[in-house]
Amino acid sequence: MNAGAALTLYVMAAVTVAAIVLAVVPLPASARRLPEAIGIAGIVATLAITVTQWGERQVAFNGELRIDRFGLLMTWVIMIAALATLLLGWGEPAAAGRRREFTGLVLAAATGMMLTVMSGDLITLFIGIELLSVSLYILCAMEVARERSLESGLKYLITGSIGTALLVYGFALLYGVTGTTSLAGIATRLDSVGGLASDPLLIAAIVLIVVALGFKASAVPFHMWTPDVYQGAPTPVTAFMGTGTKAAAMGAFLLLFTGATSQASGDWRGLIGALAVATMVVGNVGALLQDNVKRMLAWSSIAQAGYLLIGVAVGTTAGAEALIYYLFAYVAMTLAAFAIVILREREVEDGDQLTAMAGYGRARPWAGVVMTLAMVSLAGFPPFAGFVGKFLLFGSAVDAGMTWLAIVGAVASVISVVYYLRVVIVMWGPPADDRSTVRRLRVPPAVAAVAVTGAVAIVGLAIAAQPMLDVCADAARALIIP
Amino acid sequence: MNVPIEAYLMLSLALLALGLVGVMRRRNPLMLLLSVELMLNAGNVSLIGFSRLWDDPSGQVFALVVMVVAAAEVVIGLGLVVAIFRSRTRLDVDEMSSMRG
Repeated sequence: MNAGAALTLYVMAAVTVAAIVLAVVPLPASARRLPEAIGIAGIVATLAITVTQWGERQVAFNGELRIDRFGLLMTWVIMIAALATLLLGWGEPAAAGRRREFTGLVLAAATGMMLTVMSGDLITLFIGIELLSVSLYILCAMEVARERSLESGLKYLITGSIGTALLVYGFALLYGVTGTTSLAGIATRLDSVGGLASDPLLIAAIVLIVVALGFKASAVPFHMWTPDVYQGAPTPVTAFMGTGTKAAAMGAFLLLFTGATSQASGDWRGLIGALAVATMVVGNVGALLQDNVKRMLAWSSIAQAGYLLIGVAVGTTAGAEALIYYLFAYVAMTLAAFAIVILREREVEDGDQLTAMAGYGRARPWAGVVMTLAMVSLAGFPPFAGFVGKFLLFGSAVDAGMTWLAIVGAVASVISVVYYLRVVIVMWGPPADDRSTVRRLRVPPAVAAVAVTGAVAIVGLAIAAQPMLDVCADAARALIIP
Repeated sequence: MNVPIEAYLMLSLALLALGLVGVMRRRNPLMLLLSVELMLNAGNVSLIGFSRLWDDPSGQVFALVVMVVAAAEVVIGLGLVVAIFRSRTRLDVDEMSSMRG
């Protein structure tokens, strides 16, 4: 037993509890920002610990928790998303500004995401997914005075708990087939008993788990909740759902499929591939019709989940490597885009409408540049990080003999150019009316920091692609259970 | 007495089917929560059945964890339903007009 290996978990648990306690006890006005400061300190400490732990796998709690390169790198994605969320919510009336429990809930969700990607057991994986889901249900409904926010929370809760129930059933069947809840145990059991692949009970388990994780990752046809929930939730929460939850769900996909059940990959490759195709096509077509930027980004996040699923469907470490790289790129692009939406929302009523963006690039050129970079990279134009990631994902599909995935992905990307570039054109075009650009607030430094860092990362990840990919390859190799 | 694993699976499948039908047919959020609860307990029944089949305690641990999670979800669900109910019923004396004469 090596409990020191779980240090990141202790740190995150401690700051989460501290932030929640501080949200309940009365604080003097000078200490109003204390929960956020503690949360940011905890996230930075967690990131520092993961750097020192980078190396061979350590286990804690009898293998319930696996601290390896995969979990540590995924923790980076998640903690970056959580940090950005706290910064985006800084002083935001809908978030930390009025409701101090915001910080504690974001930290609880981040802890759950970290637990998910570091789990070595079905039970830990389940607790992680639930910790993140339950915290996010509350975060969505945070603006209790706004009916849309409540509606968003309830819709997310109901679809999310259907997903949870199916996940439990799938895990129960997987346990029934293999007789163990440990991911490593499942892998060895599938390896040793050759006849277990294509066992009907195992196939049922795989289908249920794919459906349940499809709900969490908002893959088509389990995506219906996504646009409503993303639009209704407070925008910093939407940004967090689009990045952190996506990363955790993809981490769970990789741990369960590329990792634990790789021996039965013949049973799930086609299934997840079909899910990826449906998600890419429906997500991109759905995004074409949107006039609300938040809703458009929701559909875009569905489409992006489709690209990411290619990395799972191929079932190889090359696919996992490309997926992890693309997750970093995706998080940078999405956070940059949401930061600009938040900026606009604070300035004008209904700032999340596309019309509110008209002429914004002229009024605030730096914001226009950040948004343009994010959109162009999301659409997959070279030479940005989004292009590199998609190129690797499609390449891994071709290498794995699933060229059809790459073809659908390329066609879907072409469709996506239309709606991503529409935002860019509107932003640099003439203002819709003179009223919309008149009101200019001082730019909140925390939001600007997220936007600029995201934009720098979009370029930086492409320039430093090789060292970054080496790290991702190390993480992907750690997935395969020795 | 030894209950065969088939019995556990039949019961859990029946519960899962009931829950799924409820989720698809009901429109009342309380009924939806109840149906999800049925589905979760279907998972619990099969977890415990398999735990006895393999003579391994981790299935029972899993079932306990699921119960805790289910409780947490219901608490939040009910909280949201109450909040929505409150925001929809406005206090307005003009609307209190079912008795007139």
